[in-house]
Amino acid sequence: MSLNKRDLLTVLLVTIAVSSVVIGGASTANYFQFYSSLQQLQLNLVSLQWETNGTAIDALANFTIVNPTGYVGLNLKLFQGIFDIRGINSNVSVPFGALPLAEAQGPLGPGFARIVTIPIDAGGRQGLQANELLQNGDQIEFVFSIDLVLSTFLDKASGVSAAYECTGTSGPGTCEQLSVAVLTSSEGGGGGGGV
Amino acid sequence: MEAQSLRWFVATETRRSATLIILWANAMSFVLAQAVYQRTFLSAVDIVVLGAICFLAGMISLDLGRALLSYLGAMSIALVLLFILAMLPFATGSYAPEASTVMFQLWLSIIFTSVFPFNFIMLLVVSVLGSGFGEKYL
Repeated sequence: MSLNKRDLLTVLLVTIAVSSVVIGGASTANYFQFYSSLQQLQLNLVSLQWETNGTAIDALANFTIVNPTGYVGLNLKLFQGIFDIRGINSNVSVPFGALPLAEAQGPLGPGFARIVTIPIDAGGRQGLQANELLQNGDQIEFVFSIDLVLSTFLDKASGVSAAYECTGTSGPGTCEQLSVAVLTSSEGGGGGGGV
Repeated sequence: MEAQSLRWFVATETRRSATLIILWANAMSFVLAQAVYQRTFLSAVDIVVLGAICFLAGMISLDLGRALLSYLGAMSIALVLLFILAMLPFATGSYAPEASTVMFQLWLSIIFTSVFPFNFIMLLVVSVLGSGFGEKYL
């Protein structure tokens, strides 16, 4: 059976259609994991060490960010947050404001753990207040409210960030994802629930 | 035997047109998918590839009127398929309804601005040129 030019071009179009399904299918399969990767993105407070000199508290917090899914394309743009020191017995909370900015930018590949180390100098009036808690026999815990600002394929259309709350006394702590937000540029802000 | 059964798809002009629209829509849809699901918007390479697909499909259609209608049909199917694939993760019910609403609007905006109006018109023109080329040389 002989094929005319039109049939040959149709065969070529079939080949292109099949190739585009293979190439586009891989991107689509990766995209299908995008939202679950945001929902499952883990922030862990691996260790927290602190010491006091009576007026200020020096601490070192080590976090890891893990993407447990197979999604490729998540990048950490900014690690930002605030922290409080709270008296566990008295339930008194001393707000310290913003955490120092951490050098944490980079890709969050599948299964990869990005380490973020934050040195904290909790001094000033709040430092004295926190030390007062210790002097009164109270135990203190650090409460971190952290926003992970992410760079994704949606960057040109929207911003994505995940909010967490981490608490720890010393050693490893616990973190909980509070929300995932998708901010659309046209609205100035729009909610996207990951939780 | 297999060639005979494949022949069935192009045995009449109507079947050939239907086959063409499905192949055309399929090819465009997944070229658009690999672009928007990775970069949100189309790159110059994506536009060139889409242009090549439209030119080829226009050539196969041979007729200007049929090329126009086939293009409109294929583009509609491609965009609907692209949108359905974009919203498919939300069909599982694992996400908050607000998330679905925000992403629905966002994807509508992304897909619309990726294609309309410039790329849509340009690809239409390329399809028409392809049909003219096919009419003359096939």
